[in-house]
Amino acid sequence: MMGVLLTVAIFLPLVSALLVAIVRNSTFSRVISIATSVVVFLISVYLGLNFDWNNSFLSAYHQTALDTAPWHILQSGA
Amino acid sequence: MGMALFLLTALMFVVAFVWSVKIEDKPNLYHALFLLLETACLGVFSALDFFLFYLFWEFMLIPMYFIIGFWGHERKVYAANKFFVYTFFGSIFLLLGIASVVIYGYIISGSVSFDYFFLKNIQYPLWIQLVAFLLFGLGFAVKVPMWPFHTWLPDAHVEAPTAGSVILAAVLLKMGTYGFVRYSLPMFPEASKYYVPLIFFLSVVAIIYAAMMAIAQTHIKRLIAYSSISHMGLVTLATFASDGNALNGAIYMMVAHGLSSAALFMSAGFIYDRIHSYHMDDLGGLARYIPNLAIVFMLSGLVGIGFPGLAGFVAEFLILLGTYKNYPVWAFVAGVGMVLGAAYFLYMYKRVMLEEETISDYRREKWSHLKDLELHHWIAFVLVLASSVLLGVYPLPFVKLMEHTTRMVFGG
Repeated sequence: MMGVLLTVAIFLPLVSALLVAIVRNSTFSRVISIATSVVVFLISVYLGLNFDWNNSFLSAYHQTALDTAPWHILQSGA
Repeated sequence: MGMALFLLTALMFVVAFVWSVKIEDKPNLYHALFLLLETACLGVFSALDFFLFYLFWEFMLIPMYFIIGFWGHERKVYAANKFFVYTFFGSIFLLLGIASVVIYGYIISGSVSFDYFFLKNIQYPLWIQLVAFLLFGLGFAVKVPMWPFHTWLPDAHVEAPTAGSVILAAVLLKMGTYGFVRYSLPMFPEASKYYVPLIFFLSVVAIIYAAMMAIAQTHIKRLIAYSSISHMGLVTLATFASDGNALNGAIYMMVAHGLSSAALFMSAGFIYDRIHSYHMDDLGGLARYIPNLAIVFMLSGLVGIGFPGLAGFVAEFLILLGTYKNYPVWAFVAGVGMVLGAAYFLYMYKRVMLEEETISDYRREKWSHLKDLELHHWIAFVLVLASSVLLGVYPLPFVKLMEHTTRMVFGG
């Protein structure tokens, strides 16, 4: 759950940037930018409040979709 | 520490977007670039994989280059190019450093891995540590920036738009010091000890030289940029002071400086929006015409100079406490830097907000109609300054958050 939230927080601005670039409306870009940053901030506060001192937060990060990204092929030595 | 900087980054982008709500020049592109920059910054602070880390680290350059180059002031293209060339130069060494530890990991384990914990737990021989520390360190030193790699920063700050300066000071500079704490210290402990005299020398030169340069400035943003170099010198000094309190203070200073410099750059940006000048010679007595800004400007400066009850005080106290334990002479020099910090801020405040007698009647008349802070300015300032007060009054939860990193570096 924490890992998924972290991934959302990281990549939500990227998705919003694409939306802003596609829609090309100045009011939309202002609203979506502020909304995105607020959502990311709220997620980061949630992650901060639920920070696991035994490091499971960091472990969870490794169990996210990021692990299936192409660069992990490099790690497996394939 | 990654969590603390992740929070800071998320907060600073809210502030940057709120501040930029009235931007009229290519707003779509502007917001899209800032959103891309946010992804890159958050990625840097949460990556536990060297490949990802480097990817985000490099990706961050592109939106920032265009933000300075498109929405900057008179010499924006020069500043954007200088920013790009310097930081890209540093990144090449960082890439070589990453390659060196990955190759060594392959030699001893037989598999290629970019995993942070795998590479961190390898016992590197001293010569590899010494070389890799230098390669990583060069990449991080440019970003901090440490003296003598600092010259890109004043130009970038002076030319960048206000929100660009906020992100540059509050988030991007922290990536360098974050790199030292996250990668250099735990992975190369022997080399970290070996290079302490060099790091201390560079840090102290940065603290004193940048503070002296700040005192000599008449351009507000350039003064704040030099103050950032001085503060980041304190961070690098404390990072390598071999003490848990000093390291906690260094991390706390990263956050506190992020907040104070952001608020100061917003104040400078507001003055420019209203008066179209950053030069102290064109300013003076503004407290009478824009009193609300005068209050938040003073508060922003007090956070930066470490006034008790605000975030900067906790950071400076921890840094001095920790550094004094092992290196009392260096702690004294750091203390001198803090005193100089108060001097240049109060000098700037006096020239910009007070000294009413220096302004002409024409300006008095013109400024009598100046509009003070608007709602979006208030929201941005309140977010930053309230966080500074919170961190100054109740630092315990944040120090606990950072102790996680301290344990990783020093064990226990």
